[in-house]
Amino acid sequence: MISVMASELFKLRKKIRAWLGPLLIMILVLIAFPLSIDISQYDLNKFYFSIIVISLLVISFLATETMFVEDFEDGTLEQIYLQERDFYKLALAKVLIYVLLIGVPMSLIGSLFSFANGVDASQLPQIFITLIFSTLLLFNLFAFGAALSINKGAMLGVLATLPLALPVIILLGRAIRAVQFGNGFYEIMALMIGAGLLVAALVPLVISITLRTHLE
Amino acid sequence: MTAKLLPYIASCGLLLLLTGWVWGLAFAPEDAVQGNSYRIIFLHVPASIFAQAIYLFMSICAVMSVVWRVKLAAYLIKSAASVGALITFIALFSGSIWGIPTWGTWWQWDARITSTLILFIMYLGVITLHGSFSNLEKADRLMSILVIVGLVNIPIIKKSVDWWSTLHQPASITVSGAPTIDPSMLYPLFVSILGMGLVLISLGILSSRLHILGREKNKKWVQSYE
Amino acid sequence: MFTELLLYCCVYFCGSPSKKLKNCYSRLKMQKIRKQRLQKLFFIFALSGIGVSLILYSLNSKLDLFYTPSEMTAASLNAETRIKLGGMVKAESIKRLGTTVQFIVTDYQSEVAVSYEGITPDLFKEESGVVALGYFTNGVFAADQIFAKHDENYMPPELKMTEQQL
Repeated sequence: MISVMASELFKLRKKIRAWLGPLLIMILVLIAFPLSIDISQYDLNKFYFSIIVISLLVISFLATETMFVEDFEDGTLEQIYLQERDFYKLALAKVLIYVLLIGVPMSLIGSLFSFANGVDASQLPQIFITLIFSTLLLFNLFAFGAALSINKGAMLGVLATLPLALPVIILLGRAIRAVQFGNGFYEIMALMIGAGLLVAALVPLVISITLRTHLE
Repeated sequence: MTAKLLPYIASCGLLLLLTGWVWGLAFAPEDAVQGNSYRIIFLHVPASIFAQAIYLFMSICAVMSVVWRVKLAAYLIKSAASVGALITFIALFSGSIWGIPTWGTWWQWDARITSTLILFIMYLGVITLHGSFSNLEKADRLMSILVIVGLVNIPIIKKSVDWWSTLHQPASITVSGAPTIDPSMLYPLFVSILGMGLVLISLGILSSRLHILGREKNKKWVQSYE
Repeated sequence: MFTELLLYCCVYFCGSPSKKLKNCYSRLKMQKIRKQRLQKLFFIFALSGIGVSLILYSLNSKLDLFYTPSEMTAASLNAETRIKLGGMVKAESIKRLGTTVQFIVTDYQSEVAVSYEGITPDLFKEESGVVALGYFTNGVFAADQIFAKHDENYMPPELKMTEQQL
């Protein structure tokens, strides 16, 4: 297991475009949004969080888009299939590495930018944890979408999995509101962490079934 | 076999549906709180019940298709998806028309409405997924996997009005407990549900006929038809 | 690890494997596969178990902070927490002063006075359900959002009047 994770880490670190690109786009979006609206007219505090949430959604999709394509095309998937007949470890390792290498910086950037929302420093760890677990959920779901549409382009994966990502967004919004109003945080974090663990355990199973279908 | 039954099912369904609607629209008394505008319940409630029921049917077919590789189940998923998409759209549309006089808004982002919208997009996604693969067996399996994964949406729709207080009202007809809707309005509702069910089954039979004939083009039994 | 060593010994010691050694080899490989499958299953179950128990815990606790008037008078609430108050509007308690609406929310056991600035929805009237979001300060609930709920009871007006007479 450790060896699988190490090899995935190595693969991702080589593809600089894959992990640096989404982070830069997220920073650009979060800077561009206040520039594009008339700040004096709107109270930015009220909906800056929505921009963070939306950019999280879009960037999670972008980051996991080409998760399995290269493995599919250069034969790594067939090799793993011959050795182990099951892609659970591969899917789990890939998603974990992507969350650690792309998701954690995304959460950091999001929580730093939430300073613009008038959040004081004592709430930052809470926001950070919320964002991390929602990236875990979103990356899992979009990895499933990427596995569904390996060589048919990305739009298919989006259409198939975006509906499932919307409840996650609802959950994230409620968690942010709980942080903002200062109550009910631990309950909703329990819900989010529980859902995150459940999804992280079960989605690699589904991904492995999907990849096996593609290989036939 | 279905050829013989289809005229009966279709005509029965249409008759029942029309009866339910005429009864509901003309003869049922008006509601104490909402006045006459509640009558759209006879379109909205059957449509939403079947929007979810068709998805459940599709998921059973999907399990059969993935686990036991039953080809007929895969054809049925595709045809049921088109019927399901149509009826979910009708449910959403009639719901928003109902919302205007009662809530003052034709859209509200509460849990049940949003989850039904998600259901609609999932139907469309299932149809799109199947249509974009040229290897049809692979397409069948992938579509079945997607349907099963999307099954998690249905409990969210059903239970969201119980779990947290939303704008949409809780169910009036429950399995346990007396229904909270008056009998003079309950019976036309049941008749409409039954009627719409039969109409949808006939639509599904028509659509699946099309798909089966299309997929089994090269088999002998199709060619001997002509 | 131990099984791997045994496997290598098996392969090393038999150039042309006899039947007995072949059985030994395949049995050890099956044990390794079985152990891996068991580990995977255990991992999945452990993770999902923790996840499900966390979800159940959170669903059972007060996720929504929805209080009825009796719960609200019983609980000691922070004036800065935003909570939801739900109940029925008491009959003949709606008073409008300019743009402010004052009314009393009751659950027939206790009551809370609410004051709200703004336009009330159409369905907001006496003796019907309402949900108010806001802050509870100085014995008055200052609501900044009001939802009028339409409940699930459909009844023709004649029956309703007979009920009221009863």
